[in-house]
Formats: sequence, structure tokens, C-alpha cells
Amino acid sequence: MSPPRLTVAVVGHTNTGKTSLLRTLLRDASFGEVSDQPATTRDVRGTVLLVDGQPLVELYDTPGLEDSIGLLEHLESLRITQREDPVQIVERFLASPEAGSRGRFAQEAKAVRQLLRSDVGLYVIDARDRPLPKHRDELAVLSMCARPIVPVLNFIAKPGANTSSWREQLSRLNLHATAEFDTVVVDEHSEQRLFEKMQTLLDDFRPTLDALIADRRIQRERLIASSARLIGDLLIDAAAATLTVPTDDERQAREAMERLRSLIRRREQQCVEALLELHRFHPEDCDPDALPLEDGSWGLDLFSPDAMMKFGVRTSSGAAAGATVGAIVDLSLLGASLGAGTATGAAIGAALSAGHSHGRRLLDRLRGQTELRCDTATLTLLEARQIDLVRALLTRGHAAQEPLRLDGTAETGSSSRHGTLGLSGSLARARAQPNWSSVTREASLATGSGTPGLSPFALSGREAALDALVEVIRPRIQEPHTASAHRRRS
Amino acid sequence: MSGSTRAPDVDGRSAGDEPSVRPSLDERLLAEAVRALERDGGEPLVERNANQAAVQSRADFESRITIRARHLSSAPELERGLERLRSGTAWTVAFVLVLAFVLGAGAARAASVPVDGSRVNFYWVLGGVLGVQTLLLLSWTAGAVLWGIRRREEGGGSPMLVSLGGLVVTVSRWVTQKAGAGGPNRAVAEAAGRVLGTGRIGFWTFSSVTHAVWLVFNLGALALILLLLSARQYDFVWETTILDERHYVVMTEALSAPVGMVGFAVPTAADIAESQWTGASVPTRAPAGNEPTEGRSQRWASLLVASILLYGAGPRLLLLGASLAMRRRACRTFRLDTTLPEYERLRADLMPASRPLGVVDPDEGDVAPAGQVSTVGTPRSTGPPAIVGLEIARPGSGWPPALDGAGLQNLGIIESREDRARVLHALGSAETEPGPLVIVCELSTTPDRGIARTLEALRGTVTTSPLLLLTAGQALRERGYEAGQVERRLESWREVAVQAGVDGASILAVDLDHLTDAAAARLAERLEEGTNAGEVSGRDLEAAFAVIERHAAKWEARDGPLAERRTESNQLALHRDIASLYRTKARPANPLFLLAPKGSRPALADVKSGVDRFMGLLPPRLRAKPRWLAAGAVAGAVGCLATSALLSPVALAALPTWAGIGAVLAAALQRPDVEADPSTVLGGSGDLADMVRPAALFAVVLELQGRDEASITRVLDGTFAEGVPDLEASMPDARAVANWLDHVRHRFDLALIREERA
Repeated sequence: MSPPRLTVAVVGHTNTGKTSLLRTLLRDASFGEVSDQPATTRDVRGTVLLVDGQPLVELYDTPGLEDSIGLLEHLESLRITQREDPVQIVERFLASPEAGSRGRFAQEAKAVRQLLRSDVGLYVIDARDRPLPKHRDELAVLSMCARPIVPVLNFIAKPGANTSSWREQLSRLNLHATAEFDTVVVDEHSEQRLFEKMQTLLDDFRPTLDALIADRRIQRERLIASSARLIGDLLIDAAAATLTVPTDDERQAREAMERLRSLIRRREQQCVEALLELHRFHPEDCDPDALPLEDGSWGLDLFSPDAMMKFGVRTSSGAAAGATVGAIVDLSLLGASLGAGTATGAAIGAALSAGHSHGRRLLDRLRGQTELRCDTATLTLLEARQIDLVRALLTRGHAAQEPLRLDGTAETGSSSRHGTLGLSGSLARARAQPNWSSVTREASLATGSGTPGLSPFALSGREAALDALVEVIRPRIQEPHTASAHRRRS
Repeated sequence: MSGSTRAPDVDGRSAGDEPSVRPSLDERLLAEAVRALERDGGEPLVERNANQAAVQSRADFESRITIRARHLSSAPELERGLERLRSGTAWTVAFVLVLAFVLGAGAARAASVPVDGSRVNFYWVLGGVLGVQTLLLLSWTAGAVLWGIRRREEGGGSPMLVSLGGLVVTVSRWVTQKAGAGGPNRAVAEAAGRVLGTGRIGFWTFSSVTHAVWLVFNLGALALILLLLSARQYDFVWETTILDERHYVVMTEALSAPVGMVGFAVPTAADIAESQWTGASVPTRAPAGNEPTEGRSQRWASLLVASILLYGAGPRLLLLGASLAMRRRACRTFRLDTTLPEYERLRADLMPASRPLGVVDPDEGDVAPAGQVSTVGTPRSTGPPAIVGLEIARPGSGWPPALDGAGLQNLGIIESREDRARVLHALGSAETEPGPLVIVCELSTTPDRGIARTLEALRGTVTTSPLLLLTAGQALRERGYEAGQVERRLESWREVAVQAGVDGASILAVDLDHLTDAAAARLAERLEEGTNAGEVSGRDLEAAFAVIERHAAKWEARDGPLAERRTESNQLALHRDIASLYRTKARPANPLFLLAPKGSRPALADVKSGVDRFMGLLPPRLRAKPRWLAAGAVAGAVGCLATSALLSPVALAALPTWAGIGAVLAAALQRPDVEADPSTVLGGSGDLADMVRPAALFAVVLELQGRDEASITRVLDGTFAEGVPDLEASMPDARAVANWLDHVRHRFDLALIREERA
């Protein structure tokens, strides 16, 4: 026994974001057409939400109401007796030439007709507008259709939103189940609250909306799990990435360091692209600069001290990242090579250090080889940046059209926490397993050495480490947004 | 990783009405191979028909993934890869099994080397065959128990047991990989490694191989021992240096007890005691004849064979069976981990969260065209400027805005239907007309049809265009609008206002909340200007007629055939000079000729609508006369070009061809001969009059700009259509032209006075 199918008409004044609301509810930035102009949507377009392939909720986008004052006047002129049923008046209006395809109220008629065909109307309000008599007239017209109306306050996250005065006005019109739903900035619960508001007015459709709410929660969990996995994969790849260079060749060592860096950069880029795709933000759907990424990649280079500062990553000694990291390079190579390590490090703010596998290191030393790896600060930065991006993507409505900028976010200053993650279990294990890293595996494959793929043994170990890492990352994505992920407009 | 335990919520219910068949392990393996391939490639393979097949199945997400994988074009190649991997593994395992058989035989042979003559140490043989494998069996058991515990505790990863099976599978993998490198093979290897090599399936696979190998090892040993026993005579003995013989008796009896229970012959206690070999060439006990010895050897041999069967092959056979059963179960319960990013990103395509229902109530053309703006019939005298706000918040600087020098009559702010009625009534019933009417709107308001309707109504109450002030641009910017967006909003407002009859030049974006002194002064000046606009003082008709006379004289002075002298471009030059006359005093351009947007080249369509509009102005009496009809058409066409060219010099270079204009004129005049030769209406008749008439019409219309069209038509009627016959006559020279123009001017003045009085 499947829950009954609910039909929803999205109505409202022109240019309040009705199509945007649908885009965000559908997670589909390609639905309809959105622009900052009146009457962008001129026809009624429908779509149905599926849960497990089963159609549950039909949503209809309608043209905006524009001349509600005139329409109400017209409707009143159509009234025959004083106590006439308003629905009859509306139907008389819909049958009149004024509502016809070239009639004066053709657009309004489309919205009204669709509302009559629906179980509930979502009345979208641009909360930045002042409540005006025309809005009151709009609601008066809509109420003549005798359908429950849920006012939806859009753009509440923007400056200049008159949320409270709208609420007051709506209460005066006996509309108390007002939902706040910003189509651009979606927080975790606003969508659920919107459905719950609808439930209060639609008892028959309670199971339908319950199923929808449950489905949305699962979707979100899935999305977070997948994102965490992508990030974990990146971190293991980065942590395990290892390049081997002859111990006594400084030039080669420096070249290898640069190569490792570019490999890691590319790997991060892959992760970013995968995250964008996972969250269904495609470059063609949004402005190229609509994300904190420039041309789809992070504006700030991974290996710049600025990037570390921005994300609150402190390097081990807390001094300037570059110099310290350089020193680490020097120390970790046992002072054998890279005599200019400190200088080099300071110049490029690099972040490489030798690994933890002492046995291998000993072996390498016997062979006259040294290993280069990402250092902890870099791993921490990688992690912070991706978590930040995922958080931003989770709260970004699919109707958003303007740039979103991220400030340094995840855990500013609390480097201790990053530090523990950076070297905790899984990553520490990864460091000792160069073949866990697709980055260097592919690099060595390209040069003809090394084996493709992972043996089942290595794979099991990597999977176990990744699973553990995902469990660490997942709650960090879900953490409440206290003092993090601010969105700021330029 | 084990797909079945992770994310149970993802194991969706079957969505279809009919129960769908769950995908097989091979299908899942294929899906994993596709996933590995896509992961390496960085992006999913997009194949519409594969997605379609998956969606049409109406199955759950996992099944859809496998269906999609099956329908991909790279599926056959991957399947071949999997097949190759499978056969490679099979061959390797077979080879290892043969090897194990040989090794088993070898081990048995090595262990059953007689110590002396035909005497063979029983425990030495038994230990050689069973010893190592029993130890390994114990370690495997311990490992399996540990693995089970860890699985339960961690629920996640499964540490691989380093076992013989693992080794074998690794070797087989390596062998197959050597056979074929490249993307698909790598993907297949990775998928197989992940699905069959890890988790529960992996564990039971390796354990199956391990036990099979040891089973065959035992069989090999057994075969050889049976061979030796049947072909040679052995005396089984045991020996010891430090142990008491009682231990051996007990040990042998313990060993024999289960064997005996199964039904094999086992050595008796006497046999055991008698079989001790102390190193002497002769057993200590006296031989009691051949018979008992042979029977004893057979009993020992029976114990040996049975022990290998029971303690070696038996457990391995049982464990092999159990492992295979467990593996089958694991294969059956294996599920793809659909939370993996590579799968999750397919969800939108394979398991869409929504399905478009399409357009149910289509847009059937434009909304009803705005009604013609009808101005009040009776002209009134001009009073002080009045100001009205339309759906605006009271500006921070106060309402009405304080503008020095302009005493504004405050009409309030229109929000509701009642406000609207009040203001319209006040404007309509007043003695004087505001000069001008100032309408204030907010840029942050989206201009909708309701606003357009009110603007139209307000426009209808006054004869001159109201001044539209668009305020609150700053508020718009504070909403995060960028320059381009503000510009677009301004454009929407302009469109709506012009549609409502507001003069394009009378639309100003002024932020009343942030009004600088300079801006306020400019605004006040603008209001002053507006009050004077209605007066006749700025008259340019005389100058325009002087221009016509000058051009006519120039044409006449030139030599050569008339058709060449009076070219179309001459006509255009004349009209341009007239138009520029009316532009120099910063008067608003006549909306009749504001056809082409600034900077764009006028298209033929613009010319055509210019002609249509101009001909629409002609009074019926003029229309009845073919010469005047032609003059009207020419004035419309050339006037349109002249004003456009005036607006954008660039466009001059790109004027539509005269042939095209000829067609337009021909259509307007319903005279096909014009199309072939436009000069038939452009002075081709050899008469200066045919060129002067359109210019005079054009000048008069420009002079009348700002009035409504009905008024213009009336004045035109009074000027050109009344009485004086010589206006129809030809004008042979410049003097005649000047004379004619004087008449026109006189008529015009009369008509204007009559119009003002009416």
C-alpha cells in the first residue's frame, strides 16, 4: 500500500523564486529558467518526486502573479450574489476570455487553475520585499481557490530580509504555518521543516511526506558518506605517496619534490571534481566563479604558507610554515642531503618529510636512496579544504547563481585536533605503504616500473584504513557550523 | 570491506511491481570492473541506452547499476577480461593442485625410506605426511577464529590471512596480469581482487584453495603409499631413545581408536609392543613365524592409510566443503557498496529523484498587448509639478523629497487599489495638469504588470510624458546585486515604462535616499525644464523649412539629369539635417522614430514599422491623395533611417539597401512599380515637389512631437489637406518651393491655434 500522491502548486508574485524553489527541492539546477526579471516562467511545468522509483509528490511551477490588484477587482466584479462560493467565482473567471490565452489575466489564470488542480499551494515570498497590499490581494485571490496555502519565505539568508514583518502580516491573514526556506542557502533542517509545515495542513498526506522526509535524510547521509570516502581516499593517496630519490643527489631530490607536489595537486583537483559531480554541481550549471574554486580548482595553492594560514593549520613548531617545513625536510633526511633544505623550504613553503617505515628507510639508505613524502601539515590542509568544500556544497541550494566564497573554516586554530587526525591510525598506516597511493603508483607505472593495481592483501589493508578514516571524517562534515564555513558576499 | 554489512539502508526495496531478479555475482563483478575503469578514467562513461535500460528495469539501485554495466559498450571487453582472469586462475589452481599431488607423493616417498632393509619407521612416515599440515591446520583455525572475532568487533575491514590459498591467488593474479596489460585488464584485475580477494568472499576463497591444496597433497601421499605398500614388503616399526615404550603404546592406541571405529584394522597391543625396534638387526622378541608378522604389517599399513585419510585428507575435505559452502553463501549475500562515490554519482541518472511531467499549461503567446494609452481629451493649463510614489517605502530622506526650486504637489504613495483610485481621481479632476507628473518607483521592486497598469493609468491623466524616478538602487546593490544585474533591472523598468507611454528620456535612476546636492539640483532643473516643455517657444519649424529651401536650391543648381541629381541619398541627407535640428536642443527624440536601439543597424523591419506608423498619422484626406500617401511613406522610411543614423553614426554605413526599402514602400503604397524603382516616389517624376513634400511632413511631425497621435493627425489635416489648391501643384524651382513652404507654415500656425482651442 503506497502512500497517496500529493500534488503541489508553487505560486507567488513574479520574481520571488518559484522556479528556484523547485530547483532546490529537485536538486536539479537545470529545471526551468531562472532570471532576475518578471515573468521568466510563462507556463506551468510539472515534475514528480520519486522515492525508490515511486512517484510521491508532484510539483508544479507556475507563472508569477503580477496584477493581483486588478485580478481581485475583476473577481469581485464577477461575483453574482453576496454569499457566493468563491470557488464558483474563480471557475467563472477561468472560463472567461480574460483568463484565455491572450486575456489580460492569462498568466494569473494559469497559476490559479493549477492551484485548483492541486492539494496544496506553496506561496513563495521574497522576504526582502516589503509586505504590500498587492501581496494581500494575491493571497486573497489564492484563498478563493479553497486550498491550503503554505507561505514560504525565500531569501531569508540575504541582507534586508523582513522575515518578522512578513510573519506578522501572514498571521493577520490567518496563515500561521509559514515555512522559511532559502533556495540559495539550504540548511539541513529547513527542507524537513517545510515538509512538516505541509503535513500540519495535509493530514491525508502525512505518510507521503513522512516517506519523503525519510528519503531526504537517507540521501543526505549517503551524500556525506560518499564525500567522506572521496576525502579519505585522497588523504590515503596523499599520505602514502612516496617518491624515492638517490640520497646524494640534491638536484634530483628537488626535482622529485616538485614532482610529488604536482602529483598531489593533481590528485586534490581530481577529488574536487569528483565532489562537485557527486553533489550535482556541474560547471555548466553555475558560473565558473560561483564556487571557491577558480576555474574549478582551488585558488590558493596547496603548498603555499597562505593556504595553511587561511585554514588555520599550524606546522609543527608554529613558526612560519615554509621555514619550518624546510627544516623538517632537512632533519628527516638525516642531514645527508638537501643541505639547502631550510632555504628551499622557506622559499617554496614545501611540505615533504621522510616516512615512518624505519625498516624501509634503512633499506633505502643501504641502497643509497631517500624517500620523499607529504608532511602532516599538508595532509591536514588537504583534509580541511575538502571538508570545507563539502560543507559548502551541502548548504548550497541548486538555485544559487551567485559566487560562494569560503573563509578558512574548519577548526581555525585548533591545530592539535588536526594534528591527531593527520597522524592517527589510518594515515600513519598509509605512510608505511607506498603502494596504497594511486598517485605514486601511477607515476611509477608511467615510467615502466611498479605493478598495476593492488594485491588483495594491500587492498584489504587499504580498505580497512579507508573505512576507519571515513568514520573519522564523516562526523567532521556533519559538525554544526559553529564558527565555521561562513559565507560572505564580496 | 564487505558490501553486505555496510550501509544496510542502501539496500533498497524493489521498486517495481513485479519482483525483480537479484543480480548474480558475475554481474556485480562486472559492475565493479566498470567502476574501476571509470575511477581510472576520472569520469563516468555516459551511455544513454545503458542508463535507459537501467531506469526501465524499475529495479532497485544496485540492480540498476549492474544492468547499466551490462549495457555499456565496454562490457564485452570487460567480460572477456573477467573470463580470462577466471580461466587463468583456474589453470593456476589446477597447476598448483597437480604440484601438490606430486609434492604429497614426494613427501610420502621421502618419509617412507626404510631405516633398515624393509623396516620403516611408522611414526616417521606419519609425521612426514601429516606433521606440517597439521600444524598449519591449527594455525589456520586460530586465524579464522581471530578473523571472525575482529570482524565482529570492527564490523569493517578484514585482515587477510597469509595462507597458501592467498599465495596461490596472488600468483594467479600476477600471471593473468602479465598476459594482458591496459585499462580494461587492470580494471578487471582490481575488481576481481576487490570482490573475490577481500572480505568474506576473499577469506573463504583463500581457505577453499588452501584446503583443496592440502587435500590433494594428502591424496598424493596416499596414492604413493598405497603404491609402495602394494608393491613392496614393509615392516613397520617404531623406535625411541628417551621415551618409555608405554607412551608409544598409548599414543598408538589413541591414534587407532577412531580408525578402528571407522572399521579399519588396527595393530593390537601385542603388535605395538612387538614392533619396537631397538637398533639391533633382529627384533628383541622372538619371531613367532611369518604369519603373525605379516598380519601385523598389514595392520600397521591399515593404520597408516586410515590415519592419512582420517587425520589428513578427512579434515581438509570437510573444511573444503565448508569453505566452499561459506564462499557460496558469501557470494550470494555480497552486495555492491552503493555508497561508494563512483556509484553514488550514478544515482541521479539511474535512480532519478524526480521525473519531469513536462509543460501542462503552455504559454500561448504574449500577454495581451497593453491598451493604447489614452490621454485626457481636454488640455488643461499646466500647474506645479506633482509627485507620486508607486509601491515605495518612505525614503529615508523624507517624503516628498525636498527639491529646491520645485514646489512639489504631494499625491502620496500608491500601494493599494484604494490609493490608486484616489490618486487617479485627484489627477483627473484637478483644474490644472501637473507639469510634470513625477512618478517615483523603487528599483528593488520587480516591474510587474500591475505596476505597468498603474503607470499606464497615471500616464493617461496627463498630456506630457511623466518623469519616472527610479530610486533605491543602493538597496538593490545591498541585496548583492552586481552592476550588470542592476543594469538589467533598470532595463526591465525602462521597458515597462516605455510600454506604458512614458518617454524614454524621462526615466531617471536617482537614489532619493542618497541624494547628493548636485543630483538634487539637476533633478530640480529637470523639473523646471519639464514645466516649459509644453510651451511653443522652442519652435524650430522655420529653421527646418529653411533647411528644405537650402537643399532644394542646391539640387536645382546642379547640372545633369534630374534623376541623378535628386538621388535617394540626397533625400536622406535632407531628413538627417532636419532631424539633427530637433536634436540639438536636447529635446526628447520623437518616440515615433526611436525604433532602432542605440548602436544597432536599422533593419528593414524597423523601416517598415516606421512607414506604418507614419502612414498611420496621416489624416484620411491626405491619404486619399496618392502624392501625399507616397510622401508619407517616404517620410516614414527615410525619417526612420535619418533618426537611426543620427543616433548611431556607425549605422549609417550599414543602411539597408534601397532596393529593400523600395519593396517596403511598394507594399505600403500597394504600388508594385515602386519596388522596381523607388525613385518613382523619390522625385523620379522630375518634380522637386516629390522631394519637398516628405521633408515638410517630417519637419511638421517632429515639431509636433510629444503630442498624442490623434492631435498630430488633426494638425496635419489642418496644415496640408485644407483648401489651397497650389499645394497639389508642382514646384518647378526653388522659388516655388519657398513660396509653398510659406503657405504651409501659415496653415500650420492656424491649425495649431485651432487645435489648442478645441
